[in-house]
Amino acid sequence: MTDLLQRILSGGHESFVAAAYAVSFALVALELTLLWRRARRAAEAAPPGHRP
Amino acid sequence: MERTWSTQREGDGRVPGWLAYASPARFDPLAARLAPWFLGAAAVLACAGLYVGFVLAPTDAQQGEVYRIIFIHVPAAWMSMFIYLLMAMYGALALVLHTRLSSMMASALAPTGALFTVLALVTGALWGEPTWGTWWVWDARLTSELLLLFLYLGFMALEAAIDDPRRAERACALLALVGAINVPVIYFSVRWWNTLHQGASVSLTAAPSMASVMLAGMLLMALACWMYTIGVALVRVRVILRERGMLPGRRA
Amino acid sequence: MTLARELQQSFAAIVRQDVLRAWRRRGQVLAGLLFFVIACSLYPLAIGPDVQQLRSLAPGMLWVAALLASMLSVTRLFAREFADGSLDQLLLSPHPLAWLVLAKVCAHWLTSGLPLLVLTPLLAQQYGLPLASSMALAASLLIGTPVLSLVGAVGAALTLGVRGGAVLLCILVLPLCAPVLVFGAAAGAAADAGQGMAAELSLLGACLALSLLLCPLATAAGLRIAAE
Repeated sequence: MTDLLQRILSGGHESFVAAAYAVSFALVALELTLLWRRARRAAEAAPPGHRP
Repeated sequence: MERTWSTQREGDGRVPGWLAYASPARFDPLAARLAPWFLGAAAVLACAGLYVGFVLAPTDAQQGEVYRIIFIHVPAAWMSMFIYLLMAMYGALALVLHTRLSSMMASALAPTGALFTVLALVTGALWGEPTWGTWWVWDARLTSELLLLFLYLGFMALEAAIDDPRRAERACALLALVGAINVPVIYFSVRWWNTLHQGASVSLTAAPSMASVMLAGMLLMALACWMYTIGVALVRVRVILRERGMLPGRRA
Repeated sequence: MTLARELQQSFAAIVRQDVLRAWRRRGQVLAGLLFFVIACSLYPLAIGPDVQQLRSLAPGMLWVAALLASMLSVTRLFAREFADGSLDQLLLSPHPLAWLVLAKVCAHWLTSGLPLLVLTPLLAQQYGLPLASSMALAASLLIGTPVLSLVGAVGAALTLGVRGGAVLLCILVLPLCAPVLVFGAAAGAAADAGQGMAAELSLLGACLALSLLLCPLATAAGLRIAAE
């Protein structure tokens, strides 16, 4: 495990793979966070008993 | 008071089962029940796919460990194109059936589609640098992905710019449809341009010869992305329904 | 009067009306052309006076400038109708809206695309492009600029009356015009290299045929959406 970590941090090819998956998880987390915040805003803004 | 949802009368026994869910009031609780299952399935499939991709799949003879980026790059590219086609389909439904929920589904899918397009581009760049020494490769797939990203962002920009929600929904539906018809033309023209200008086949489409294990990993990841997309879209469409005041109000 | 004659007359009437209106406001048309000329002159300033390099880049750069100029001018396609409310007249006309849209786009091309390709051989001299090659480039523009006008019309209908509409129109339409740009620039480059440009021109022709068929319908749908 530490060997793998060392290879990633050494800047070799493994670091690109790690970076790719890190970016993927980060973007997914970003989307979910933004969605959660948007949901919060919508729930707070909708007045009770509102009809179109 | 105008009807703002489906023209199908509610409670009408002659409405085919699925079409009744075009009514936001019926759709909302269904979406609420289903979304967690899809997101959960996405997590499970992603774990399975990554296990296959990193533990089971062997090191590639030519590209070493770097090729493992393929397990996120290719599914992301597939999803980015598939989501756009879905958006166009929902757009067509919205224009033909006049159901607002259809265009809201298109709007719900757009950010996720843009996400996968960005992901495909970034992972493509991270694959290109160690393999061919450049951060950007003008190969057919990456260039098409770039144009597809512009189409997604244009969709989201149009939606944001039009104030009237009904007009925004219908305009975006039309835009998605026009864009979808254009996507094959764009892809063909970019491939043609690519073969014209590049002698050396520096191409991400020249993937390592697929061992079946690698293919299995890619398919699992693709399924994971698919489940994720559906789950997030269901959550987002519920948010959109509330933003546009389409649901009868909550009792305080 | 037969339907065919009616359609023909309505088409001709709209083209005549729009061309006359553009002539009366020729400042606007000339400004668009001037933008094209300036844009073409900027590239050599940015890249350097090396004639070989400029000549090889000429078809691509002229095509990009034509594309940008076309995008800017197409914003005025329905602006007048929207401003003075006569858009409803267009929508209520007994003739098919797509047909009327085609007439408007035709008039627009006559006042913006056609002057553009007349200027092209002149501007190509700045790039050291020989006359035969620049005529070939103009031929590619002849087939390509109507496509730009047609696709631009769809964008114009979608962004009608929207704030920030001009930039939004460019964002929406430029990616859709990428195929035309690719084929058009390739045609010019092939002609300059001495190869035939039949393949590229036929691809451009296919784009034109497809957009003649689909764009007026899409634009008509967009106008209806904008007017609701």
